[in-house]
Amino acid sequence: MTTELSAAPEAAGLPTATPTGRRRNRSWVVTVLAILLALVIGNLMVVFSDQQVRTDLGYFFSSPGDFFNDAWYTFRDAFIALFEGAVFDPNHASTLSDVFGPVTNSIYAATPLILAGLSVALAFRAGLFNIGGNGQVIAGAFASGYVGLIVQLPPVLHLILAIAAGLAAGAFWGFIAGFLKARAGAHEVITTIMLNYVAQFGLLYLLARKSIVAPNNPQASKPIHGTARLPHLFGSGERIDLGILLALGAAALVAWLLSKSTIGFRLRAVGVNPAAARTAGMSVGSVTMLAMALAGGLAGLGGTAVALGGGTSYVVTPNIASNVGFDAITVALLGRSRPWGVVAAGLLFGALRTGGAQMQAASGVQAPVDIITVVQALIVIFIAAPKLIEGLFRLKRLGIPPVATATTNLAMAVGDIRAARVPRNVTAGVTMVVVGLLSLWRFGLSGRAGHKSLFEFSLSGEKWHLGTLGFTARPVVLLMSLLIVVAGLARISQRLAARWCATVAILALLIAFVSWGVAGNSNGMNVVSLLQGALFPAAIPLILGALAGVMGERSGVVNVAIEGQLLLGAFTTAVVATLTGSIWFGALGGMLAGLLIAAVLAALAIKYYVDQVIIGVVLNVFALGITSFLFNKLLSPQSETYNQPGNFDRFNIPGLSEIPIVGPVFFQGTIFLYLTYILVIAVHFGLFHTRWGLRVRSVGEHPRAADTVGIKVNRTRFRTVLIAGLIAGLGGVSLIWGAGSAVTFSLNMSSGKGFIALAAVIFGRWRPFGALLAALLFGFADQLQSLLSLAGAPVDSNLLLMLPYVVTLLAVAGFIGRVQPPAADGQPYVSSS
Amino acid sequence: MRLELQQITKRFGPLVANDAIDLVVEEGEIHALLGENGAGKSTLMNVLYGLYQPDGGQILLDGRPHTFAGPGDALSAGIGMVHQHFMLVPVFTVAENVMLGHEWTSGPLGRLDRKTARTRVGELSERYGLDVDPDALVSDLPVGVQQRVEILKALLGEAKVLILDEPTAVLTPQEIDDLIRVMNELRSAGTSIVFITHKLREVKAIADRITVIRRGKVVGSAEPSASEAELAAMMVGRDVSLVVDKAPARPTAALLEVRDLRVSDDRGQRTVDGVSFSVAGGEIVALAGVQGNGQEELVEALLGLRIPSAGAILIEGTDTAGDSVDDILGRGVGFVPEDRQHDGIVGGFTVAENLVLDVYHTPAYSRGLSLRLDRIAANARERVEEFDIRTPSTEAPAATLSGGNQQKLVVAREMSRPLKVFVASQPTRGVDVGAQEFIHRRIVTERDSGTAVVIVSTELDEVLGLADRILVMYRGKIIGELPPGSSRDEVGLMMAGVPAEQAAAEAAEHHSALGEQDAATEATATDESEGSVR
Repeated sequence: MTTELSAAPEAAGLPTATPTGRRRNRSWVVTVLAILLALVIGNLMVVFSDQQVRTDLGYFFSSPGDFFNDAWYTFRDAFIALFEGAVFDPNHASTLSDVFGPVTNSIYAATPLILAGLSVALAFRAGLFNIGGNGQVIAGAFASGYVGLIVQLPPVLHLILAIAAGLAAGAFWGFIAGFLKARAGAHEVITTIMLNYVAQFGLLYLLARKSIVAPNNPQASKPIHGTARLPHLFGSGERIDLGILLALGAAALVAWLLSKSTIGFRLRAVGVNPAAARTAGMSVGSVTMLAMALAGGLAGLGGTAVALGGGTSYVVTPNIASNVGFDAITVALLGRSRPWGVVAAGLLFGALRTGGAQMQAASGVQAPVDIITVVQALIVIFIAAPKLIEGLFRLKRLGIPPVATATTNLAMAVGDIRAARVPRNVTAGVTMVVVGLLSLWRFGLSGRAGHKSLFEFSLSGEKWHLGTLGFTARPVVLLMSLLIVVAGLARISQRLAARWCATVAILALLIAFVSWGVAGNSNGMNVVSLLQGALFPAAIPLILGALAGVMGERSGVVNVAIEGQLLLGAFTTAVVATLTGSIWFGALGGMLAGLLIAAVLAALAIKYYVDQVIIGVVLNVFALGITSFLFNKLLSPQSETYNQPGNFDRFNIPGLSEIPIVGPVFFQGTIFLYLTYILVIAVHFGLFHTRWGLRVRSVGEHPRAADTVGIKVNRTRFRTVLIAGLIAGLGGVSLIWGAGSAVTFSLNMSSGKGFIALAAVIFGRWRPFGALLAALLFGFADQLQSLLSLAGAPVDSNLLLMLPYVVTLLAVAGFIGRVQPPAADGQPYVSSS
Repeated sequence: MRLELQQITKRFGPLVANDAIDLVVEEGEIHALLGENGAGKSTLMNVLYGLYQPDGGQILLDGRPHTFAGPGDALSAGIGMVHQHFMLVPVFTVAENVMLGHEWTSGPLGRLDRKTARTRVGELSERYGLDVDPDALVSDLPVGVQQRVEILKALLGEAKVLILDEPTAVLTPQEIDDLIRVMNELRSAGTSIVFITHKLREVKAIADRITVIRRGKVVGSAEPSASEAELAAMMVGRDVSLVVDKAPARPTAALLEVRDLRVSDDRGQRTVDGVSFSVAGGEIVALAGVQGNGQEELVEALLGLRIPSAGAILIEGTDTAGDSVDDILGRGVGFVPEDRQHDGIVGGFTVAENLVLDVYHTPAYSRGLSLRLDRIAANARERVEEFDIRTPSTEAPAATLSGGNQQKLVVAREMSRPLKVFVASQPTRGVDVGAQEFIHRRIVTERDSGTAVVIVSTELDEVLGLADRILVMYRGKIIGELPPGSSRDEVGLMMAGVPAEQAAAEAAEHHSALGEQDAATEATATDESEGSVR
């Protein structure tokens, strides 16, 4: 379709007359080559991680034949296993069910991928980047599962109701992001990431409810009734069920919707040019909300297909979404955002998953299934940067545009909204007043508040002991609650700046909440260990990741791959430190891993104009895949050889570390703590007080202006992203050693810290010290949760863990003052020549 | 410094933007590069400034050939440029903007020396009478001052050759006078100036020599004494009538009435401050004014794109203030936006889709949720024929059309339904002369069919040529109404905020630099042969 116009020449104001038909034919060449190349690379990884092959390599020069022989057999067997698992296995072809088993399993595995892929594709066409697939899948899976296990209904009706519930829940979850974008200008990339975590912790919270949780297994719900399960299409022997028909129906509907309906016309118009759409009388806000709701509904159906299709044995589990939401992005990109393309891509990835499981089991291969994730990421990287393929295969210039999707300009989202009918200060202020009153009622007037709250200000064994502070909770809680109300009123009347109102309200709420939480506990709460834990180790990777994010975005490059940098950094640190026996080489390796991802991001985003958010997401998938694969293949079975990184000692700064409260919080840590201080100051000084910083910021705000005074825009961006990569890599290093005690690498070790860092960048208004404070706040919430549960506060820990993400959502929605990103954030610069 | 361009050629795909252009600018000369929008002037200057690489030819400075790989090279060779769209970082201060690229630093870490920057900016602005506060944020400055910052940037880079790309487009006539004074001072200091414009009067007032470019080629050079008609003929390649043929208006009842309208911009500044006027069917009312005096917000409010804070907008007697765009379009309002690529068309959509962009959901083109693709295609064939839209096919993406044809597409779409009110913002900006005439003719036809027409334009020629009544906007208010055929000076002075009576008096007393040209042309109009064209 016409939306696939190349962004690059248009930006340069050049004519873009290429016949559409021919271009589409040629894009097939790239797609096929990308898939083949990715499979070969993935397979080579399998070969080189094989024990026998690497043993052969040890004596390669004395007997090269062994190496080539074993390598070839592993290579061949891996492909055979993949094919047998995914399509057809001649050794198991005795019954009809055996013959069709692999294919139907592949189709079964493809179902949620197709549905969630359609979700991402539909959003793309409306100019929206739905990274919230996981959250929507969770919402859909839970809602369907809930209806399936709670209600008793006749067969067909029950199934229909359960499916409808999943659709509605997913749609609602998507709608929230659409609403926040349409009404508050909050960019969906940020809000959907936050909503993923809110959904994840919400699911954990709900799964702990008595009516839902299985009596004998706290990690699963009660089973879904048979009446609500998706019926199998070919008897219970084959896993394939009604879900695939649901997916195909959805694809047909989306295809019709996009090309032949008025809704699709609106969606596409808003997607390509929201300004013109608005001038033509379309309501960009409603279209955004509708598109996100539709996208959410599709992803929700993906969750339904998992929950009701037995993907998790007909129970709802905490990990029910696995990584479907992110896999869906690769599916949509491979399918080039066309409905039937998505179906094909979903089937391919479903087949790879099924075949990958076979590879894992096959003797002589034993490649953990995570290799498929790597292959998936590689395919999309090659697809997204067709010039890469052209270059690699020495093809004549095909003139295929990079995958054109939502252009991610974070700045535009904030600016381009119609003035709200209700002013921001009123909505924000009223919210604060309501929160204050809630706190008054829920905390202040509760029986618990009648008890005494104890706070300790020293750790045991400290030089000076400050003693404890004890008071009856109620008056303090009441006072703080009133303070929140006052802050809200000040916000409404605009007596006080938005930021200060929010700060006062948050602090007051915190004090009220903690006083109430620890009331009646005889041990009290140790403030120092709370603060110490918040900064260190919890916040260091966040701070370093956020610093990297600030640098990148200041120069105009959005780095969503911080998560991947942290993860690959931690992995490389552990492996290099173990192999070399040197912690310093380990640290260096970790930083270089961050640099490597930064280099790929920079090359693809700056040189090949690939959308920065897309490439960031794909790099995250890649980092997760490669580390999981190698962990399962090597680190886990042979942890002495690969995963014993050693230890970095704590170093207490003489004198300073003995100051009460301040000392243990700020001056007792590993070298990484002090490096973090230095880096925050250095980046701040660099950005705002040096020639380098002035240039970096000019490139992020107005690249063309920088170009016209002789500043090399893309070179500046490249270098900034690379330096930021080293810092993010250091964040990965500190995941291993930041705590000052021996930690080994574990699966998905970063566990979303990179995304929290991204939130800290925004929350901290693209400033190093702001990011530092935001990261501390998030670390604080994390720490508070564990301490409060120790203190026996009657609060579900999952709700507390959810809090940072909710606060970030409120922040980007403008409740805490206006956030204005660098003007050219996320936009590639095409120098015209 | 003497600048010489020899045989400069620049191609964009099949399009030849500059075709073997020769140009010589002597030291201390103001050389005007005259040509229509899209003639290739800006491309040529971007080649000279190192932003584009030429496909052929060479650049000589004081006789020595130079090649510029980027603007950095051009800058160090002594070439400065003031871009049409200012190249200033809005969130930086004046001093920061001015020093960007050649910062003053102290210490080994490259710490910015803001103090030196401030003093240097102060010195320079004093020497050339360019009054600017070095610590002001650029985003807070009015456009005229921003332009001064741009000039300061070039001067601090010690430019010997200064390129001014359409510098007067955003200025009031009085600010233009200021600019002319600065240019004269620079000339006497020995700076060579290349002055790009498509406005004939300015060229005659300022330039020492004139080179005219058409369709990427030099078509001739002229002395400033050449008559406007001659210059215009060179520019467009044939004799054009600068006036629009139209019969006197026959106004009917008021179809559009605006009462005491107040509108704020994105930053919350009230940019439309109590505006009232009415437009009758069958007349063209032009809203004249320098860019940024509230016209943009006024038009957005008329269309429902912006919610007014107070006042009423009556269309056929019904108040539509605050209604949705869709509702207002449904009342028979047609709209041609100022920036067609941004607001008028969806570049990735086909011509056919663009032609139904605001009517796709009406029963004519849809049934329920389903689009009637056959009707949409048929409509496209008819409109393309009727409005002479040059496109390879109705299925071609609209982005591939030329500017003039894109504008015709927008006009075709808006005029293809029955209208009560037609609002057009800068309807012919950046459009070739052929399309310009066509669009003007269609607007007059629309008027004659009884529609109330509102034209917002910053081009005096368009205002004077098209309007049946002229309303002048200044700082959010309508400061006066003028009949058609008013003098250029009178309109110009009012655009600068001078009240109507005073403007009339002043215009009669002493002319502005451009007004003098008018007077001179009138005086010599009888003897056209005086202008020499080579």
